[in-house]
Amino acid sequence: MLSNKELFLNWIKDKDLPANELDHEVAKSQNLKFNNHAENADTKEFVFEDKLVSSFDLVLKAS
Amino acid sequence: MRNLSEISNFIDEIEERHNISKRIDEINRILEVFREKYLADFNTHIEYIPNAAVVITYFYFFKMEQEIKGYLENNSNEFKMASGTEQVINYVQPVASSDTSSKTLRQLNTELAVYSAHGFIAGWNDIEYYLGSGIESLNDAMDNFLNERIKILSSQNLNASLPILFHSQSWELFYLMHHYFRSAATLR
Repeated sequence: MLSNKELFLNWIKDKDLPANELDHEVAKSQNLKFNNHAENADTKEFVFEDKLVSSFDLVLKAS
Repeated sequence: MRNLSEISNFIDEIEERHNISKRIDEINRILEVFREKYLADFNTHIEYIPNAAVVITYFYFFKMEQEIKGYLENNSNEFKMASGTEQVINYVQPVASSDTSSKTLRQLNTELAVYSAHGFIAGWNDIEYYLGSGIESLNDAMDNFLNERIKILSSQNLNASLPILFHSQSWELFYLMHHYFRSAATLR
């Protein structure tokens, strides 16, 4: 059984990945830094609840 | 980073820094709720690509760590996380098949991408940055919006596709929030 990492590598190995959003040479020359005004969202507790679905109904029906 | 060995080493570093399995569970939950919703409301069966949540989660952290995190003074905020998830899902196209003829797979995948971003934003009750208590907070928010926007555009990769429609929506949101919060402040 493959690990999650191996599953991902199998997926990405043949992909023609999209270009970077930023020109890194320009960004580095400008010492680009963004101020987020936030804690680390990737580590915050997140709960996806069914009740949230109702507010998305309008989006689905409009599309 | 094009070499598979380099990507593999990079993934090792990401796995040490992040709770990947927790995010995979969250993405799986979103995928399942989206599938259940389509079945219940539209009598439409949706099937995903194999290991969809794994691919989405790893590619999200790959893109964020490789391209975004180096430019952040602190950590990723909710809006970048939602946008990153949205963009990654739109690229991965996890919806592989459905039995509806009214929408294309591309449309279903786009809905899933927006649905996921919306879910992350709505799933937090403690985003206070734009929900400050007064007009001073609003001005700070608007100043920061414009300053950050200038930074992004000044380093934009002009050889890539130009996200004109996305930027137009940002400006529309800026306009709506500006007027909404000014009206709310006036009524206090």
